[in-house]
Amino acid sequence: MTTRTIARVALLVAVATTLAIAESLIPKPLPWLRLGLANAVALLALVRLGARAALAVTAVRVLLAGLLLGTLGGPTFALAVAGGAAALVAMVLAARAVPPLSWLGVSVIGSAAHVLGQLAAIGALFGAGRSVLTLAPWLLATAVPLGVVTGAIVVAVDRRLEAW
Amino acid sequence: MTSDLFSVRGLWRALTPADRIVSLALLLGSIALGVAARPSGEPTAAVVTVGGEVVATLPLDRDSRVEVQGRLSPVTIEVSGHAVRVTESACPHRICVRMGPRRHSGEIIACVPNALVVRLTGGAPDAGVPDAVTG
Amino acid sequence: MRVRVPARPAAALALLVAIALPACDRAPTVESRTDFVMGTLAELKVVSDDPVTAREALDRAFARLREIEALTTSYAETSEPARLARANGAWVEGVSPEVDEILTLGLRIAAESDGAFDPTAGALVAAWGWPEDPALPDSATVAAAVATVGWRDVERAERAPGRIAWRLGRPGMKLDLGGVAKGWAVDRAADVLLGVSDHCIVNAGGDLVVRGHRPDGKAWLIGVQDPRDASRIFLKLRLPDGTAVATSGDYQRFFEVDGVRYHHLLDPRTGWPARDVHSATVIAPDCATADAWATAAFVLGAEAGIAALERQPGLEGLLVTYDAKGDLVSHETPGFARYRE
Repeated sequence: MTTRTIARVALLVAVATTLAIAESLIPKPLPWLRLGLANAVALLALVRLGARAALAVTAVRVLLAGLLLGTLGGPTFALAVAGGAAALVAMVLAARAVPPLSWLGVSVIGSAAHVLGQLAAIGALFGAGRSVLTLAPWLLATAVPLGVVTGAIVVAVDRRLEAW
Repeated sequence: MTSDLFSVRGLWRALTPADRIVSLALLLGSIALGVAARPSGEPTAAVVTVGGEVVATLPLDRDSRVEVQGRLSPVTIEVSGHAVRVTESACPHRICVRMGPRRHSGEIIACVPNALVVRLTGGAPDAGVPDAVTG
Repeated sequence: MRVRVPARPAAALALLVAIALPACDRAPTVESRTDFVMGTLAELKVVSDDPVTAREALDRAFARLREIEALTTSYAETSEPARLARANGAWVEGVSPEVDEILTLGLRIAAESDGAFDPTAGALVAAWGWPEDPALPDSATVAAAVATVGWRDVERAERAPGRIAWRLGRPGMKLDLGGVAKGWAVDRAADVLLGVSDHCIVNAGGDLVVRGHRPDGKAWLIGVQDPRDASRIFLKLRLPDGTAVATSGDYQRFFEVDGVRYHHLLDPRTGWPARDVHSATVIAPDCATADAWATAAFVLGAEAGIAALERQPGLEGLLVTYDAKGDLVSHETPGFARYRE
């Protein structure tokens, strides 16, 4: 990676970490609504800088947020890792189908994967097993429109960042 | 321009046909999951696990209240009227408390910071869950 | 048809109901709490119609369990068994009433069981490394440890009412109160809960006592774990008010060397794990007695164990062995069946 890329990734990491922390602090109106803003930053990194940058942003963001929130190594951290990793892998794979998919579609796929990754972690680590599927319907259904919106935000930001 | 994008119509038009197919598929999938994961049968007990280990089993045929140790804080779980709910937890967002009562087989309540899951299971029809176990 | 509702009387009635409603007694429910103490998972249940009182009582009951643990554990420098061991045969003054009672009871059961249960087997337990680092000792080590065990060689003196002194009479002798202290602590925790309710269960890792009955009026229902499969219950018991039950099993703590399983229930007379019985369940009027006799009966074996239990008034027992096919074979005292569900 060039120095410029590293600097850009660092900036994105800072933004993503801030968003992740902010999101964990605001009171949630509905128990399952996750805005996934931090994943949007990873998507932006994917769009502009490629898969490796997106991986760096996700990994470092999850670690930093865990450190700053004091959840490092705990169950919440495990879920953040699972969700972030699932979203990242899904988005990287989906990015290969970009035409015909647009970045909005990739964002939707990432958002859905994030939810499924977290449910899988609850099932595997907390011993809930297959009953996590009873939580899936609402979480997945809301992940779709949220994915569209955050994808649109990423696209809008991307257009503004002409000179980057 | 960007302002055109951020409206319901704008977002819809920004989606390519492939995007729409994926989104629709996921939405239909979530409905299908909602139907398929429909619980069958009456639950007889609520099993409480912390980090995968069972810490309490609450029969649903009698009212009771349990306090267990989660990873982060004590958590109080109550059975009342054949339904189970989390009544107290010191976790940051209290999502587990706000999930409210659950009464169908297979349903779960999860408190992530406490690594705690309450799962409703059906046992044998004449289960007669014991009040305590020696062994 | 339009009905006129007189506003003021209706409002007054509504207000009265609103005020009266919270004062209604809540139905009694079972308040329970589970926590780690004394090296095991303890579950305490108390029936109460007031959650605040119930929780406060549970707090005190758990605190009492931890207090007794600190006094009786072999594994802390400040515990009384440790003090007695360090004294090397000298008199230790000012022994706590708790340890005094537990040791007295333990020695009595040692006499009644001919040494199958022996609270002076501390050096033997340590030779096997229980509970932290269990490992197979060689025969010489075991023999040397057995030489320090002897319930007859412990002395008690009452200096003044309430001032008790004890001494351990054999060189290298150490106490291990584990086989009776847990049950005794369970009884004391139940005493705490009885201060707020007539109905409770105190269960520390399978050693339990019940008081009163369930809110629906039926006696408390107790499951007995299958020794071959911890997730299965192979027997259910109905225990009346003031009954305790404890189980000693070879599946509770063990390690394997070269395909041979070595468990933690040592025969104090030989120094090796007792072989014959796989689980011993004893019902008694208090948990300390149930705890100690479960261990004693296990060590005595199926035939001698049942015979010994039959000789004791107020005790019933179930000892489980396996036949050649691996099926459970139950050996029961005659009166045990009346507890079966």
